[in-house]
Amino acid sequence: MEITKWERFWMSFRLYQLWCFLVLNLRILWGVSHSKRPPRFVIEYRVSYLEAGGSYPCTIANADRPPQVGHRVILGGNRFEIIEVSPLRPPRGTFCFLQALCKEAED
Amino acid sequence: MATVAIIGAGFAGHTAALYLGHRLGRDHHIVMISKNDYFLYLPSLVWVGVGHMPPEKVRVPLKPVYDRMHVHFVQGTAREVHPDENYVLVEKAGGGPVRVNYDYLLVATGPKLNFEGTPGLGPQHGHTLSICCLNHAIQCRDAYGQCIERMKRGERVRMVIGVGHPRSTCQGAAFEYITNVHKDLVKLGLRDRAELMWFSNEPAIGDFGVGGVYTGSGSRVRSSEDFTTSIFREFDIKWQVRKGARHVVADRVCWEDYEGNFGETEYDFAMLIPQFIGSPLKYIGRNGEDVSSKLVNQDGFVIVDGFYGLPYERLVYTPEAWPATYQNPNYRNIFAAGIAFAAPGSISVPHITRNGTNMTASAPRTGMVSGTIGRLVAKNIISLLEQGRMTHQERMTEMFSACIASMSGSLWDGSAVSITLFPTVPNFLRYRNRCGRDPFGTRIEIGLAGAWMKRMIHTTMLWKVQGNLGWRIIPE
Ligand SMILES: Cc1cc2nc3c(=O)[nH]c(=O)nc-3n(C[C@H](O)[C@H](O)[C@H](O)COP(=O)(O)OP(=O)(O)OC[C@H]3O[C@@H](n4cnc5c(N)ncnc54)[C@H](O)[C@@H]3O)c2cc1C
Repeated sequence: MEITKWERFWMSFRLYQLWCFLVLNLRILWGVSHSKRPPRFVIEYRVSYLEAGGSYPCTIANADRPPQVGHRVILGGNRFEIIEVSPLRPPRGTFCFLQALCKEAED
Repeated sequence: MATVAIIGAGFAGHTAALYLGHRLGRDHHIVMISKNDYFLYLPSLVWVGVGHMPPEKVRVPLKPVYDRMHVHFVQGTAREVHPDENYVLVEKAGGGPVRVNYDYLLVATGPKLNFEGTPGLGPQHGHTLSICCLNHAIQCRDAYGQCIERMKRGERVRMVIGVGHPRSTCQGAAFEYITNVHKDLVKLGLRDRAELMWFSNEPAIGDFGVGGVYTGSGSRVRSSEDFTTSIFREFDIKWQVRKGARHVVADRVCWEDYEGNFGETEYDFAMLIPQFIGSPLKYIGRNGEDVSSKLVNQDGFVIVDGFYGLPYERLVYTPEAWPATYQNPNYRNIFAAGIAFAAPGSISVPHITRNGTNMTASAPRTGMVSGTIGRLVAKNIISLLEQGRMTHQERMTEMFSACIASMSGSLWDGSAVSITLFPTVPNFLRYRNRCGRDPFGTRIEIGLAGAWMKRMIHTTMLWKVQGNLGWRIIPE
């Protein structure tokens, strides 16, 4: 494909390029405003707690905050420490499904 | 009073520092740790590399800006992050190590230029040039000047420009450089003495690591492949795509192609962009153990809230696998922005050669994308401190970006290719067309308007990064 004579003409025709410049500015402003999400969303978390190499069966719980490494949770009466967090599947909208790997807390 | 530390005053980190300083600087402690005491406006390094812009014009001193914005500036290189104890160990410029404590940390270290990934590549230990940082661009300008002298003496020079690794990204910058070189040589009346060669790992010419762009509608749809081909034909630039440099010697690039064949391309002057990997920070746990696996992927990019490991075919139809808040899943007070965060995959179609070489153009994160993510993370840290929860999210599958590749800086007879992408990463669930993008927001065009736009962006961005009046209304 070659650049045609007409395209070459329009590329340097200054009045037309001024129009293109204005449209490009508008497009950028339009794009920027469309890519922003309304700043108030709530992420819901579903967390699958799993003991690393242990016998404790998995527990699934809903939460409004994500689990955090180093935090303690009580599962089936035992205290566990979270050692690793990873997503179990891609989030859907504002819903996240996470897996928190735990070990029995030492204290 | 909380401490927010940021590592790296590039597009992402500096933008975040401006927002954080402006909103929180008086009540909280905002610390910027960065290697250099200036902000470098990288896109204009292309002009430095052809000698059209003096290096001073692409630098903005940081200290005066941060003093005004209530940001504490530590000039130095961050070496270690201790995420369990919440501190960063910094090797201060001209001093010993200092410890910077934080409540929130933003890693915005941009890329490490992995010249070692391709033996013989790079200006320091290799044979090729680069325009990826200021010193390199100056070296490149000088080498280009020597080529011009040779051409003036009547010699013919073979110039190879593009990318220097099978997994490189940033083809846009190299494209801008080759077209600037062409225009410059035309102006000097030396174009017939130079053979220009485009060398890239893209699956097709005009892919630019974003899977190409389609513009127009109905029967007038035009792809960036047609577009770039016509520009290269017009400029008499030859091209070699679907090739990854394996190693470079003094006068030739040794490559492997998509089909797994090996070959060589000779050069007298080569500007090849290296692979980008994550900054080599050490992540150390409470007992001195290495906790990198919880924070970074094998390329050193910070793992955030994306969904990693999906095969390309599934990733393409899973826009929500792309990160939304850029928060590390293991250490919730650590965020990453710009090139530093780990993308869940490539945007371009990946390819493994029959020899097992991964030849995939990595996902680019342009200046606009990096700045946008920097702003978003800053706003989330602000809301975490003020409301206890995050309020912003923006995935690259819903994020606009613009990239202007100038071909000559002249405002009278220059021209540039303007590429706008909405969204940056195709979202085939939302836009059921060939390129998975909005037809109005996605365009590629060439003309003088682009040259004006490029100059306007240079001026307005330098205004913005100085935190001058109205900086917040200028888009990243
Ligand atoms: C030649 C060229 C042209 C380009 N042209 C365009 C363009 O036209 N449009 C566009 O949108 N994008 C363009 N880009 C891409 C754009 O520049 C990058 O996307 C952008 O710079 C990424 O921003 P960042 O903040 O992630 O990283 P950077 O801008 O690279 O900033 C990282 C910062 O962190 C600092 N740092 C790194 N490690 C450490 C450490 N350990 N301790 C302390 N500080 C550290 C670095 O010194 C640097 O200041 C271009 C890039 C290049 C190289």
